[in-house]
Amino acid sequence: MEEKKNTVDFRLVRRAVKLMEESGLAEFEWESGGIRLRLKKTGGSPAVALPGPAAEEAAPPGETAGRSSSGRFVEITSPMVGTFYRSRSPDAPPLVEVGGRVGPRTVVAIIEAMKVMNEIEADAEGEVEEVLVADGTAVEYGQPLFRLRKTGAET
Amino acid sequence: MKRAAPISDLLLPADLERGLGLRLLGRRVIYQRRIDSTNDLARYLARSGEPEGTVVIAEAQTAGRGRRGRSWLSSPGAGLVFSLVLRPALPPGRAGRLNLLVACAVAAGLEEVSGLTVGLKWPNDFIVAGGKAGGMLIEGSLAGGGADYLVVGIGVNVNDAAFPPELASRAVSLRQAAGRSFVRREVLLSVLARLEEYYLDPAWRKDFSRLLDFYRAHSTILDREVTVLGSGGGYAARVLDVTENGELVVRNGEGATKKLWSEEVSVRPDTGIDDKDDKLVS
Repeated sequence: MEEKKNTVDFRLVRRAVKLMEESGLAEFEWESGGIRLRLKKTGGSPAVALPGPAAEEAAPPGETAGRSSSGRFVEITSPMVGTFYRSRSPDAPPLVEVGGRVGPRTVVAIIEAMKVMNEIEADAEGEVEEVLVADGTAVEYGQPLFRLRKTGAET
Repeated sequence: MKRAAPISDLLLPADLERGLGLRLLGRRVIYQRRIDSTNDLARYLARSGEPEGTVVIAEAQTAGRGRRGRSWLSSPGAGLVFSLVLRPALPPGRAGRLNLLVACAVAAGLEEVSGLTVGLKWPNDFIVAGGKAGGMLIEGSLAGGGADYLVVGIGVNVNDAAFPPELASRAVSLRQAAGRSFVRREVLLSVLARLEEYYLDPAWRKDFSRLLDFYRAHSTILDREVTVLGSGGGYAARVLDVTENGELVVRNGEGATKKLWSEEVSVRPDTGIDDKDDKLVS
């Protein structure tokens, strides 16, 4: 790939987006020459996120499910393939809202997998910064579900 | 009309614990006259370390839930609602089997105690004489690769004499179908005995074919035309099979086969019960 350091080749981004559409990939990550490109589908078409220099937000290697930590933020990731629900039932309020505080054992979502309604615990302490998946959509193993702003001690 | 159950048909824990005589299920029975949801209490207990086998049972459930929060109403004395705490050492990919196992055990237990034929309507319904006589809901925590705990909730219409008009065409009780009433304790014992037998039998974890054959034989939608209701709208399909992991195999109008999970669909037999309005009164 010939490309100047720290600039983004948008043809590449476009190609990656197209690749995602065609392949049905939910998430795509690519890193080269100090540029890290991360694409993630949030329901409809892929949303493009360019987090900038790789060092700033690199996740620790090998951590694929449960939590992935990066600086002040921690992501709650899906421990399984299934359908993501933010509430126990369609009429009920979401288990957590943006801005809400959670502890390690707070149930933040339900994932229906193999006909079992699974409670997903935060497994971390913090404030919900962002809900990354729409209610009722299919999620993959390791897919980030929530981004938390850390409030507790590092674990 | 609400009336108290006859004394002999209360589900008192002393009677149950004595009468069960099972190795695992009902070693501890938690009894409530009224409860919002037996599954909620069982789940709370399970999260707090409740050992496997505990049965939570209530005479009346005021806020029972079916799948995805469909309400499950139940009036005192007539219905049977209970939840079990299980902690199966399941490989991550095998949890779907537990759903089929529970479905088969409940159907077998109900058939034995009632003499009725009990059908299984994927994913979670028990069908008697063309109507919905019961349902199940499994909640739990599969996180971390295996199951930390699973709570199995089961509801059965046992002695209901009648249902409200809006449900009368879909719901049915064992009493209505059999023309006689049942002692709910005996219904519970019959179901729990089968559940324990199947659950403790190591064979089902390895060779699931026997239960799968039972399931297929009792399925009310196998080889039938159904409407699959997914997030992208409904489509007609034919049910070809159910897999040992609990997926439903269907063929759509274009001839393509697809494996379905419960989370993706509701299934509505064209001449059967409407799954969209899943209310059940017992």
